[in-house]
Amino acid sequence: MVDKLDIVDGIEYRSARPHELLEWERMVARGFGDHFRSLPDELEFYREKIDFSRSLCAFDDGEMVGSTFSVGYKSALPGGVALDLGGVTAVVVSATHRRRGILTEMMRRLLRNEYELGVPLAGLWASQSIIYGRFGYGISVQQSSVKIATRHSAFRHMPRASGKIRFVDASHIREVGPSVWDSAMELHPGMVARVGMEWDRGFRDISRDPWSKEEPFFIVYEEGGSALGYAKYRMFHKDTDDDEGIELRINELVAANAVVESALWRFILDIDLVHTVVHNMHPHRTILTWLLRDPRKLSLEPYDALWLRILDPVAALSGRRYSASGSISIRLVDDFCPWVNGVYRLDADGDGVGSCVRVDGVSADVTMPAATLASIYMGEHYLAHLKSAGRVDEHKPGAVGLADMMFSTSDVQYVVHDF
Amino acid sequence: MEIRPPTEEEFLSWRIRVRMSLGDHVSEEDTRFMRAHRVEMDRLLLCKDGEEIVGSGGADSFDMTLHGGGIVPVAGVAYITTASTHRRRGIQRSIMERIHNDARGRGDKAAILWASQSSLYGRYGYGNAMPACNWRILTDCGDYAHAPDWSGHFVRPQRDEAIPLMKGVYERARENRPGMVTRNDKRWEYEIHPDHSADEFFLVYKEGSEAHAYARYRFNFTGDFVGTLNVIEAVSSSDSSHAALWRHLLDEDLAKDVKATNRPIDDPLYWMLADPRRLNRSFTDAIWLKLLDVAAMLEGRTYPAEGSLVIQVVDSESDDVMTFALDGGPDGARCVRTDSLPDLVMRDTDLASAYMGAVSFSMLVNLGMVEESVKSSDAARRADAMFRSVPAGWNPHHF
Repeated sequence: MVDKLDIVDGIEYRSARPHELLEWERMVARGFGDHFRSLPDELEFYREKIDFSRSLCAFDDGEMVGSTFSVGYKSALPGGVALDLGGVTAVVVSATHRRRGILTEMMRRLLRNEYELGVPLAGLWASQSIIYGRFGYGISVQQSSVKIATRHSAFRHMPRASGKIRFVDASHIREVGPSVWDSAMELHPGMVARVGMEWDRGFRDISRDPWSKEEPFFIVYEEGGSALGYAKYRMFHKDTDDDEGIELRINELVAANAVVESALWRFILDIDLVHTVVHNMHPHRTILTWLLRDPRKLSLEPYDALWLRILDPVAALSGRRYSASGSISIRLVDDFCPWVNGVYRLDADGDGVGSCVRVDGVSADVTMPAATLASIYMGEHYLAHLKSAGRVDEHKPGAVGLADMMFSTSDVQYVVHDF
Repeated sequence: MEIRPPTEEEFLSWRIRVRMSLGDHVSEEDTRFMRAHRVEMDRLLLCKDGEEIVGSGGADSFDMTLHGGGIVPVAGVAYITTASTHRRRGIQRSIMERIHNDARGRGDKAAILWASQSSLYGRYGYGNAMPACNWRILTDCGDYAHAPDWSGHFVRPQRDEAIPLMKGVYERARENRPGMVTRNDKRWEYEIHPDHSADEFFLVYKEGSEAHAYARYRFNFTGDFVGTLNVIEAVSSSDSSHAALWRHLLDEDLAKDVKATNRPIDDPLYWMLADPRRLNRSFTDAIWLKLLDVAAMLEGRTYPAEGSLVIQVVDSESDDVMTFALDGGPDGARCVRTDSLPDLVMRDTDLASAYMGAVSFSMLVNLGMVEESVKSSDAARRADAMFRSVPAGWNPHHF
């Protein structure tokens, strides 16, 4: 990959280079309100693992003043299939260089580069939800922050799970977690295949402070010797007006099916001394509402998790499965990635397999911005609701309803991994 | 202990019993107003132990809209209380059974209720069916990035002028919103009580002479020249009037934030905001639904996808098992009792939830709460496609 060397208004746009890693990390940390900290060997580790060619940074007189980066993920899609997704992250403009169009310029180049690499989708977690709509990203998968007092956590129905749960070390999850994750991806559109470096970071046996109360605990659910689920959580000794004891915060809970997910939750809710369980990375379509005897006791606050950017509509629309057969012609309007502009005809067969071709010049059934397609693409949101918000024009009566039949899914969207 | 409707003479003490259990006092005047504007005496029940009323219950009669625009009579169950001195003697169960039998006798196809506690009514066959959202948004963060066009204007009527305008909006909205129920003229008078609504503001959006959206709200000062706009009820009959109404509410002078309870889970405001995360949403179970006449309810709605399903339903009150064959599609449905082998076996509570699209059949199957026949392993997915519910169920009427 050649450097994308270019200068606009005195700012140079190009990939970061390996020797600039420390400067890059410092600038990104500062952008998110933190100082850069790492273990001595960590920087070298990342220097070897990072694909610098998928960064797009801004430099003023040799000094890095802006950064974007894309991680090569696969994302699960409705129907248990997956496509490449560029996980956009480390998006920062230095406070010294605001309001010069640097973010727009970096994002335009980054997305163009991803598209040229053949990546059909880009996605990100937004630090603020006001930023990315203008670049054609749409809210695609929501998650919820959930919280429940354990004394109100009785289930009205307990799925029958035959396996066992035991405590393990982080290294054990590092070993078995990826296969659990692969199984979970078949259930959850929006879930990204975590890369090896991220597994290493999340599940390493390093205790920097032997007395730290914040070291996580790890549990694994096994049936017949194979792991089907795991959780990572931390315990905080926290007395409140109403309770004394421990607030347990789940960092990650991943399961190969809903029964195992239920078993892991039941286990955690029943841990002695725990008065409250919090999970801020919970699926928006939760099982808990339906398991709990007293569902109102579950505090459930949804938020935008995955923002999606369609870079290649033909590949994206051909790549997922559909819930109904049908044909629909979609005109996409896209000022930011102009190559997307055009009319696309999607045909889905009786097995839910889609094929999409570009048919510019044909009259479309619906016209929408690329961000609207991104919002319905994972099957979580209905085009009818976006139409009510003025985000799609329906030229052929019934086309919006047909799109919803085709795009909706029984799968539960869930990103899990915050990148 | 006897269970029967209260007499006219007993109505005040019945009312005192109900409000006491909800932590409230009543006045004779309010009770007279309620008697005249709200209740149907023959739908109320009391339970007496000697001279003392120790339990209460009852229902209001409504017509409820279903998916596709069909309308069915329903019992709006309310007033359910048991004296703390008389717990655990089956009083509530007896009252609920009597209400349900009475409702079936009247031809009601379903019962709905607002639960004081969400653990209470599953045992009587009610499912969490129309969840809603509570909102808070800072008005500083209320800009739209997208919205349908609107061209109407706003009026600010006083109570007596406002009621007929709002009623017109409500009636039009009701046609297209599953879960909405009738609110008759007397109930409008009751809801917007002539004495207790003095602090309410009425905002009505009109296109030409016709009202298309309204909001009732209160303004509560939290400091000098600053406060919270608390929306009591906001109903719109079109997308453009919805956009116009919320633009106006979010632009209200002096309001630092806007709060609203019981908003539809599919309200398009989320998709219009430039900074949607600033719309703080929390979920709540709102309306619980019991299918009194399963066949009539399955036949009463339409289905976006054509399909046939055989569903076996276990009644939570009686443990009776009945099997229904449903053929449905966008133009209507047929549902009859059958002896055929079922595709899906489930409790009435779960069917009520899935009926309104609040939960997918697939999730219930995955959790082992619904049994999917081996012969039709795609039944849950087919059912999901059929019962997909756009718009979502929502009921703005409190009872």
